[in-house]
Amino acid sequence: MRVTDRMTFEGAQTRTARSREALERANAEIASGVRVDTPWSDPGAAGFILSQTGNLERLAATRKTTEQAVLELEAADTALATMGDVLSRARELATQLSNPSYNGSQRSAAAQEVRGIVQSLLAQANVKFNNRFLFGGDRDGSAPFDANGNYLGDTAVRQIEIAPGIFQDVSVRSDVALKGAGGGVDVLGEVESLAVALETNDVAGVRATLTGLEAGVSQVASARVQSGTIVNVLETVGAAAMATSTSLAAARSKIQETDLVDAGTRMALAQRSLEATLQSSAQSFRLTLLSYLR
Amino acid sequence: MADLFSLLGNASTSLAAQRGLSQTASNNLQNVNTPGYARQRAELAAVLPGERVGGAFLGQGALLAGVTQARDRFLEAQVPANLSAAARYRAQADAVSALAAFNLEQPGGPAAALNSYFGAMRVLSQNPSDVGLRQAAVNAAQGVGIAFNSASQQISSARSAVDERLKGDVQTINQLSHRLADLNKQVRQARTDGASPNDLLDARQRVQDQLVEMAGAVPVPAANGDVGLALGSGLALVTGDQPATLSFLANPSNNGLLDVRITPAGGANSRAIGATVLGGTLGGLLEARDGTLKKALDGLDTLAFDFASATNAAHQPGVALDGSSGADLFNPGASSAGAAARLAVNGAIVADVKLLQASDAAGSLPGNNKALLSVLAVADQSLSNGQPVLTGMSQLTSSFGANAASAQGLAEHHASLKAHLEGLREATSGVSIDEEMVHLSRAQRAFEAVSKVIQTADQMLETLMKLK
Repeated sequence: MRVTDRMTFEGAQTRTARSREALERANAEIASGVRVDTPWSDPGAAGFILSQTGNLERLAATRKTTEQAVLELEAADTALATMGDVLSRARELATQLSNPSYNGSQRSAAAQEVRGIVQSLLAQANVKFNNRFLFGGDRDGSAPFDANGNYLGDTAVRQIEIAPGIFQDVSVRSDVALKGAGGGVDVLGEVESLAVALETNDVAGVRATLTGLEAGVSQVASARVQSGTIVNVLETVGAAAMATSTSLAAARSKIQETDLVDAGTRMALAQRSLEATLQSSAQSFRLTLLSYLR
Repeated sequence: MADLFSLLGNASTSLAAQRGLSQTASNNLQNVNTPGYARQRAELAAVLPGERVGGAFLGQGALLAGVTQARDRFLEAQVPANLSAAARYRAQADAVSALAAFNLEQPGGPAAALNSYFGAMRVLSQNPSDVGLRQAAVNAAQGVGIAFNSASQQISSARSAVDERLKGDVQTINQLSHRLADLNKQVRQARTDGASPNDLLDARQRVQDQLVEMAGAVPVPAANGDVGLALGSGLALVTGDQPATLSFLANPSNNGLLDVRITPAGGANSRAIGATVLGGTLGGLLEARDGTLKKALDGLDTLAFDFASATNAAHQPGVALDGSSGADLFNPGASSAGAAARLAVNGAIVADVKLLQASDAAGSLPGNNKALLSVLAVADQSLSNGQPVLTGMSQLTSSFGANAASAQGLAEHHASLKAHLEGLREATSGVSIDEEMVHLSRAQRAFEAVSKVIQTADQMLETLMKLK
């Protein structure tokens, strides 16, 4: 093939540019740590990366939501535990003071303690977390129980989405746990009855509250079991979300990020290629008849 | 009978021929870097007929029979198609690659904004009465609007930028078409005496190549030596010495973007021509503007409209903290056309985040999140393209990337073919300094030798003159 001077120079220019481009590309990949940064770098990978990013963001939001719900449930559990404790104390007092050997003055003193228990129960039933009432159902903007123990909330159980189309309850119904909705015991009512019976020195009345208080303790304990179960579910969801996130992030990273060994090898090859191109170009530029004609 | 004077005359003619050889080599050397220049060859021939002297013919030296160009017509016939295709795909790839709206690392893109929005809504769904979380969710919704607005604006700007380039290219094409028509006329006139106007032919070839690259025109050689140029569908850009004229006109049905129009030679009615008629850079630019970029914009509009409509449908039945209902969350406009550019959050909700309708019943405020869960369900709802919004966004990005990658791949492929053919053309027509130096030395030697002939003849005449 006939080779002209322009072919020599333009060929050198093209080959040098190509080597420089390969070097620059490898260099940029190593410097940025990213292999796919534009949709045309690898269109299939770009779609996959976006999709994985969406999934990761969703899992992160799910984790955040479940963590918040767990914190609320733990606050509710603490309140229920306190309520269980004071209810047990009320039951002890009822058991003790249903004994005819106690006199009216002793019962009156116990009534004062039971009044304190009622206040304590109301305080726990109206507990707030993160500026909202935990035991009012959806009506979480105002106290769910009034001073007389009447329930002002609704029957709703809050839910959050833990997976596409899958919802998890994240609250317990205090109308069931404390007011006996659906066939249970009105715990607050029973404690109130105990207080009244003690105040009036009504032994039979005190004894009559024993069954209700016993059921009430059990009812509150059930609510705690329920909230504990939900916490377990949410923690499992959070852990699964974390594990999935790790795996998705690894998959995304594998596709999107630079393989340093590969990029380093390509960079070394491109460097060699550029050096060789420059050297051979310089050599071919020197070989001309003009150098010999004098 | 041959005499010494005729010897001098013959030597003079031969000297001129050697000078022509030297001048041609010199001209080649001077044009070694001239684009489109085809090396020339001085063709020497013996002067005919020889002079009869007795029973023999005596030669009468050499003359310059002509100066020809080294061209391979077979190769050159293949060049235009590749020039046009390489320019077309390069222009298309460049126009598309200039768009950063779909870059994965681009902060504030629609996909990232949608992720943030759904994340904020998800967190809010856990505690819908929290005004701080409401504010965060509304801010994230505004982020979606801004991201779609920005992406739409970037695509529209990329399309408008194509128009700016079209304007300049159309003017250049018109100038080149006139130049080609003029060169056709000059070549025709120069050929009337039978000589080959090599430099004019080179100039015409250069103009022809430029028009092929810019407009994708196909050269149409005429019997009289003219070169015409035809666009797709056989529409003439140049016929002989008659050029057509390209112009541009804003097309209201294409967002006011420019239509390229052609007015045939003779001033007949102009008509709009698109990427099917135009090739080369102009065709590539139109293809990018009205193909890949428009498709991306339409896809973005559809996605924005469908997402906003689905969200509004879930949001409308909800109840705000003040008990009001029926409001949209997003305002995408009445149709999908231009929806991405218009997408915005309901101003009333921006002004008062309590108007975000999270509850599904007025009686269960403020903690009810059922309407919000419906709004969140939009993330998994199939839209008009059969896919959820984030999948649609991924597909839009992939599809745009595939189109851009395809244009880039084709641009590189045709650039490589073009380089190959140009290399072959250069191998035939290009100037080699080494070769020309040899030609120059050869001409110099011959010139010296013929000069010696003249000197010898002169000495012989002098000898004769001295005879007494």
